[in-house]
Amino acid sequence: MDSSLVPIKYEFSVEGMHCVSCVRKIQDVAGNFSNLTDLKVDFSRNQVSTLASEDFDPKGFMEIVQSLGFDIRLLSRGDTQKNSLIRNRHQLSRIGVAGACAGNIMLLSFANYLGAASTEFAKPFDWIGATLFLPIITFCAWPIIKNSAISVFKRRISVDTPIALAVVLGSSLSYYNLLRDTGEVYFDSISMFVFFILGSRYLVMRVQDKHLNPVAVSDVLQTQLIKVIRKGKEQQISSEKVQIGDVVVIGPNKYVPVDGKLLDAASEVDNSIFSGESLPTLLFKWDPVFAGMKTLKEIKIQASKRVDESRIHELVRMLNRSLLERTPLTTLTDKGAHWLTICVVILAIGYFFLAQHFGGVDIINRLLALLVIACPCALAIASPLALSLGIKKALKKSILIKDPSSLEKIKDCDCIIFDKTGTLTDGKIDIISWSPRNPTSEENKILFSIENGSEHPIAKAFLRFVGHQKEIPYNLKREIPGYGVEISTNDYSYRLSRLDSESGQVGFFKDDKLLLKANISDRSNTESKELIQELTRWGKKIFLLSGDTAQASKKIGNDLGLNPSHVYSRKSPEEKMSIVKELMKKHKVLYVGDGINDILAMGEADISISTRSAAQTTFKISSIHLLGSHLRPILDVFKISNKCVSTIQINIVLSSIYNLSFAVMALSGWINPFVAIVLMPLSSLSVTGFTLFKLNQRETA
Amino acid sequence: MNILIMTIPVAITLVVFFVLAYLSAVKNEQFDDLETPAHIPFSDDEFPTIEEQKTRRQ
Repeated sequence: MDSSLVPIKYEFSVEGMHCVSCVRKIQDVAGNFSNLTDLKVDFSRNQVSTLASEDFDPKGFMEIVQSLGFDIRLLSRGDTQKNSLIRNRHQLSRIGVAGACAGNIMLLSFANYLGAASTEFAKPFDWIGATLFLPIITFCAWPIIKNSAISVFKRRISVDTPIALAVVLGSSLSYYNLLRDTGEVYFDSISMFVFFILGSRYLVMRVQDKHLNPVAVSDVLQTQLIKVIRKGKEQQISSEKVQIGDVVVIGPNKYVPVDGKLLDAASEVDNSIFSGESLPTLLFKWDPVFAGMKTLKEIKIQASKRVDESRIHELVRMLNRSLLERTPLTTLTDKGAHWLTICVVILAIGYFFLAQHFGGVDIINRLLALLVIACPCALAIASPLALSLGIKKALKKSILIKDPSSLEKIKDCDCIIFDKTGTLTDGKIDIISWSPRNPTSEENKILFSIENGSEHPIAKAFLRFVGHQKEIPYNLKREIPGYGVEISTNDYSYRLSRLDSESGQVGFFKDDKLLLKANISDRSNTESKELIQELTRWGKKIFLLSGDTAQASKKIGNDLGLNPSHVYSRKSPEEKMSIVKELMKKHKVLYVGDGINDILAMGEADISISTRSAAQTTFKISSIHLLGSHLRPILDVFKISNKCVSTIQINIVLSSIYNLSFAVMALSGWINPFVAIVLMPLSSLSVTGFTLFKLNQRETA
Repeated sequence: MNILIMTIPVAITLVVFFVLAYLSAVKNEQFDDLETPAHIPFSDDEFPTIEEQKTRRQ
């Protein structure tokens, strides 16, 4: 009944299994991992599914399988909701048992402190306490002990290490003392301590909602039924079954399921998934079309790649690789614990040798008192509390902090990269102005008739502008992809067309005579401008990274008052990632984005924030998500982060002072179990109280 | 003080009993969702029975 033994299901896809002996080979790999509880090889589906405990390292597993000559990929880490429910239940059971046992041990030992110690009851009371302590060490504290054993084995000291050290050494020496009838027992303080730690960790677990699921292509592209022409025969098949050479007919407003080449003479497609560009791209016959692009009108393509070799799959694969390679962040608490453990161990060893040399009294007992008292309970309890309060506070401001450690780290980010479309602008094109004059109501009707029924973003902008109108009668409507639309009535012909491909100007022609010009653009909202000014005032470097045209990006950059050299345009997802990599050499990078075209960069950046319009995939990989439609909460994230980190730092200092002075007291023999039981909660209480006070303060101004 | 010979086993039996009761409550999903059940009385619709909820969850 151990939470770390609640199995997590991992699924891998393995290519290159040919026979039963291959299956055997992979099954043998399981022998190298003690934390794998089950491994099934599904030969027909080319899949391997494993059940493993939390500390299982899928990367190491994959490396070994790879070295056997198989191509292996992580498909999913099934840390499903069901598993988290089970974990929740285990955690609750542990806390309940710890609380009940600790309370009763406390009753008995207090009887001893208050006088029973000198009567014949002292021994039985200690024995009952020792019995009640058994479930604490074998059930409640077991995951902590196990995790720290694992991390010591991996040469890492985490906050669990000193806790486990105190629990294990303290309890074993207490049992030893009880059996030998020598010295003191510390069951009461250790059990209380375990109860506190479990409780505070549970609080953190409740507030954080952490999902480390790798991204799957199905998050981006849903499978759909699609019309294909294969060997001259038309048929409806599932989009994932498209083969090379098939002619695929994709209806309007649908996602392209596979990479291919355009068969139509010319067509416009929405390429925002790769470029983030707000205006559609014009493609001609035989131009490459990529899976993930969105159609505006029905198009025909010829599939030139297998579905799972499409560019979007490549992108997702790259992303998952970089997510796996990300090193876990050392938290402040871990650093504090590391330092404290080293200090205590040096102190203990130094004392041991000095005492041996000069002949001290009661050495073992004093060392035990030292270990119990020097436990970084303040760190173990107050820091999670600080983070959980910070997360709650953020939630009130509609910020979802998915990764609590990001709250510690974001404060140091000095370089903030914004995606343009959908982040700083809302990605919708609007008509900003007309020249030389606004259209008359009669002209509005004509504009409506021209653009009505079109899926083109520019058409939609016009339709939004003119509102609902009555259509004028016309004879003919002609749409020229990438150029414009023309209708002819009995008297005249009217045309709307782009004046050039770069600038956002659309001309309205009557019989080839230019009547009006409309300026179109996606605009930045005033809020973004204020946000950027504030961030600049805080000394952050702001960058704009866009897949859109140079002109559009420059315009937004100017609007927001950005340094022109910090504005990048026409960047592919891969280029965005390499820019982030470059910046990360000198800076801590925060990436704010929303689209699929940002995922690689967001996976790479130190911290990533996804905005409300974010695609599912982007949401999944980001460490912080903005629930509201505003960007302003980014400022709050920084404020909350500053506060949390300063609270944690003060806590570390406070508890270090406590612990070291207690350590000195313990070594000089001033502390017996009774003093320990009073002092330990006192130190925890003071840091907890300080944390609550600091983080519940109302914000001034 | 002979009374202790009786009270301590009684106390321990009680502790064991309550811990077991608590553990079975945890196991029976009593603490899985502390939010929703509180809202059910206010809902105008018939609220689903436990069996229905279970099937729904699956």
